[in-house]
Amino acid sequence: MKKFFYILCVLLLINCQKEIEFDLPDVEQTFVLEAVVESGLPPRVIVTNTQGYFDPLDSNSFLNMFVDNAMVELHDGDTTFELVYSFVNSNGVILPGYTSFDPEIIGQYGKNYTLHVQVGDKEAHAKAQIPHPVILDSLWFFAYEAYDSLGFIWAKFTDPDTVGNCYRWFAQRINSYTYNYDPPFDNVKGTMKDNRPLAPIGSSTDDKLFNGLSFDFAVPRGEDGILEGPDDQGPERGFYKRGDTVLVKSTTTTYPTYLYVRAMENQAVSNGSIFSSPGNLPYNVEGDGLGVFIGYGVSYDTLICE
Amino acid sequence: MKFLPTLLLTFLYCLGYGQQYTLSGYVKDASSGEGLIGVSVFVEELGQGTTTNVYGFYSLTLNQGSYKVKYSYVGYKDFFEDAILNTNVRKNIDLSESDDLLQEVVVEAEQSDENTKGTQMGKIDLNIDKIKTIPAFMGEVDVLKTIQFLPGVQSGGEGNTGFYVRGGGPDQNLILLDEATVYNASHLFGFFSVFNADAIKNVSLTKGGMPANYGGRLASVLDITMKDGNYKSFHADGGIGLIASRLTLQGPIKEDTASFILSGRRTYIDVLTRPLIPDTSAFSGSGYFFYDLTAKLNWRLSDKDRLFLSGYFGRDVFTFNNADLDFTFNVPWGNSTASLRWNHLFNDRLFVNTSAVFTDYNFAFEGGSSGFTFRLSSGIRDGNLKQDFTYYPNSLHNVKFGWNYTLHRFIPSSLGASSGDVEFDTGEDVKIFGNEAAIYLLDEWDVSENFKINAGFRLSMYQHVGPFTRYYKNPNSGVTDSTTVYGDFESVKTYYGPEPRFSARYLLKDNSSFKFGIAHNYQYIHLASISSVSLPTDLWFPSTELVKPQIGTQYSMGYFKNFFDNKYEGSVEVYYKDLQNLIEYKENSFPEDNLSNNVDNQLTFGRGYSYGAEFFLKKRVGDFNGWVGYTWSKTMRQFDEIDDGGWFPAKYDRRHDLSVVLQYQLSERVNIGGVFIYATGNSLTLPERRWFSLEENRLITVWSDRNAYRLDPYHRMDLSVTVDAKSTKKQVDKDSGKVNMVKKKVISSWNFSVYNLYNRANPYFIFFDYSGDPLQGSVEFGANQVSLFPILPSITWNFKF
Repeated sequence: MKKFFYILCVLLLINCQKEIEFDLPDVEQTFVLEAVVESGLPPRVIVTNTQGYFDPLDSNSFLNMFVDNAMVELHDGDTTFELVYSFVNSNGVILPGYTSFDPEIIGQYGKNYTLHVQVGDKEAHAKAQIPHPVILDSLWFFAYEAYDSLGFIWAKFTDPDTVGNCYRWFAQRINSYTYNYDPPFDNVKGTMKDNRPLAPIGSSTDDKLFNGLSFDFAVPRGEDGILEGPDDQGPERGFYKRGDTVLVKSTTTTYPTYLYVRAMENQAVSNGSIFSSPGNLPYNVEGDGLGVFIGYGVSYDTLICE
Repeated sequence: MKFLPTLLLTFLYCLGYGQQYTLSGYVKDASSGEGLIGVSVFVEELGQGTTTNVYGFYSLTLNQGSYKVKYSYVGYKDFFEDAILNTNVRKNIDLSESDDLLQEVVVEAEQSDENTKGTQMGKIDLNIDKIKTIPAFMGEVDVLKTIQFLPGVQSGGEGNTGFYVRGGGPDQNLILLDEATVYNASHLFGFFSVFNADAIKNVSLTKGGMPANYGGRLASVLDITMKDGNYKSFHADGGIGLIASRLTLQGPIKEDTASFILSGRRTYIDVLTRPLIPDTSAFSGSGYFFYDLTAKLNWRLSDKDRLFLSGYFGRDVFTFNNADLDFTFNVPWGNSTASLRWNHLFNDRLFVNTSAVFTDYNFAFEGGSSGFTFRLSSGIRDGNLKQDFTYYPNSLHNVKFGWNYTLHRFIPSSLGASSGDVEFDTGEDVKIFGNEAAIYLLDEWDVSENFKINAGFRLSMYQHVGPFTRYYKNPNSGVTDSTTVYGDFESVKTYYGPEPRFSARYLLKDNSSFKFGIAHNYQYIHLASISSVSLPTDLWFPSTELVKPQIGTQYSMGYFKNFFDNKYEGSVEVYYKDLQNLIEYKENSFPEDNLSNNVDNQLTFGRGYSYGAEFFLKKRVGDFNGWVGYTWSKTMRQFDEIDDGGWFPAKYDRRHDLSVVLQYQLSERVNIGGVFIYATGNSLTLPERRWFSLEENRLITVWSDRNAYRLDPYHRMDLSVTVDAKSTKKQVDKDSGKVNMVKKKVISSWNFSVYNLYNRANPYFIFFDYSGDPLQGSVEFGANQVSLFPILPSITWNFKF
């Protein structure tokens, strides 16, 4: 009875939450660029349209958001390449976008790239760079006693003694589920756990805190954006499991990318928080459109969690 | 410059003329010995008078003669004294509380015609003892919440004690507690203020153009005076409420010479929630509490000298543990202030107060998990010396002059982090030092029977001094391109602020007047919030070479009228305010950006304006009394780096603001209070567009222009009933057997209040969410409003002995 009374008090103190509607005026939509150049891969540029915030998202609106008539050019400091509308490989996921099959355009360390996009009478441009990679010293898995076989990946890393290095972490479990979960995940057995390298919240950093230092750090398991997997709920959320085989994609990147990723992740986690502040992301695309042009210098490692 | 003292003395001498003598002294409460502020000292036959100052001192210089002097103060019996002025006369007066059953209006401590006859527009004095019958949130009487019922003063929103005055931001209000600046007057994220009403004697809010003896802020001065402590006998006051209790002890150290007052308050939210978190839970050890401690010592050294030592110490501590994840953080923050003041009477016409004040405010966030620790802290520390002279040359002039110096030390952002044995290089704590100073001179002058002016000039200065390192950052890489290092005490940047102040009152006919004022102010200390809600993470920082002083110019005028023999008073005031060098954080700023950087590199600068009309009608006396206040206002801002430089409404731009505060003395022991408030909804930035990031599988929001939309209006009604326990009891005389009625030692009352009587779900904040399964290809987006407080009854038992 006492517990009920206290719970009632707590519930009363947080009054209520209700859905409300806003009558938003029609707002002009614009196009958005998501462009990535990374070492060892051809460039990929996905061009979509913005939509009204409260417009429903269904298969029709999803298909209609792609822009297939843009003129896209990429300059690597020496040559300008025209990118064609095709299918692009975004970390193992195939998506409609712009790319080039010219082997000369494969991303190389140290190169500076300029992107120019024209959609109708609107144009946008941006710059990116592929920095040289910094290799991790070592990787290991550490399970927490309280959680049996669950834990984080730990890494040892030495930052070069030059200020201004920026990094981003991705990791992909390339092993398969060995059992099914509750519906709707009752058919996952035998499928690869992550279909692409995923970045956890807090995946990007600059070296302000650790310039020139050698140190250990732990990284939780990331989720695939708003797509929740079978183990993204409950006690396994954020953890790796003993027996996982993890492909770690550690990247170097640039300061504008770090600022964009930081703001993008902050926007994702602060939804629903009274302490958040509405603000548009620091896009590095200039001109008529929105968006971001990112460069990654990539190195890969594989870790078996045991 | 050399002839300035001579000029000053000549000016002062000229103000005193003819064969005149001075009647002066202190007016005190007869039962406690406390000095009374704002007591009217009036000679009816001459139509001249004065009022006691904040220490209860008065001085009235008149032509030689015999006069009948009337001392009057709300809630006290009028006192008449014959004064024969053929020499300077010292008369200290004790006033007794009135037995009059007529319930005086709850918040006014001024004389009955101050509304029309005072020059000061937009100044309100609150009588603390009387506001306890106004309905209060969770039964906790709160000074800052009470002033928000006044026109021109707007609440920061539900659960927020920050207040906005005439379009000014929360940092533009100077809050003083016994002359010490209080930087963060909030507990529990703004739900309560730091001021314990039991320890407070007087609260004075100046929202119109402030006179020249105040400065450093643009919008208002909230001047809070603590009680001195009962000089005659020991007493205790206290209250036990639903979520907090308080106790005040006061009494003489040496009767009529020295006294003390000690006041404490603590919440027990942590005690209430502890049963919900058993020791075996992973969250064991989590909790929140706050406490306040206020103390004061007073000593009347002689007839000419008095010494006061007062202090405040308050803390909020929020702790969160999760043992399973080996994760913990705690958030302590709070203010400490100490003031040492010396009143000295040079002679009957010249009074001086000398103060030495220390203020410290700090906030920290400390957390850790699995060997990784993190600490962020911010603080400000001031050492202040000042002298304020009041010269009463004759009954037509009241001259004030003085000087003020403050040494500031800011630590806007201190960051520390470690992982195991590795201490991350967070750089040295950035400390910013500054000297702030001012001199002023003002005269309140009865130019004629109908025309009175308050004219003054304040010259202020701010100097940023080293040690200081200026970082010049490359905007493309975030790397420090270069630095400039300043040594200890080396001047980095100096600003000067000439601040003319003028207000005038013209008595049109009996009981009505027209008032007008202009005030030009400089502000050298600023507050910037990263988030859209006021938090203790807000950073105080000073003017630097990048951050210019905020400048405000306010023009105001008003018509004031009393009705029915001063039983009703009404006013209409209009104002226009121009603001320059306003400050906001740049978009996408994070606390860690202050590391090895200057805070002001994260800021952007702009301007603004505000204008409005305030309507006020009050019934001052009678069993049924109260007031209605309505404000129409508009507040706009413009920053080149925000919204492409377009004008946008300030966060607290509130077109309509209505407060109705009523009280009814149902019987001798029962008082009913009610409050109704209505306010236009806060301005709001909404998501207008979105796009889907296929690289990240995330929905990205594209926001509207800043504050382009509105929340629903805020309105609620509160009700309270205060029942005084019987003050007498029957006692049988042992000898005669007669039954007598004797006064009880402990006087108590019960306060029953209901907050949000009709359970309105007022918006606290909005968040946006989606429902549906993206994998199934169908997602809907919506907005959710969170409201904070439903109907909330509370009971408080108050006592004193």
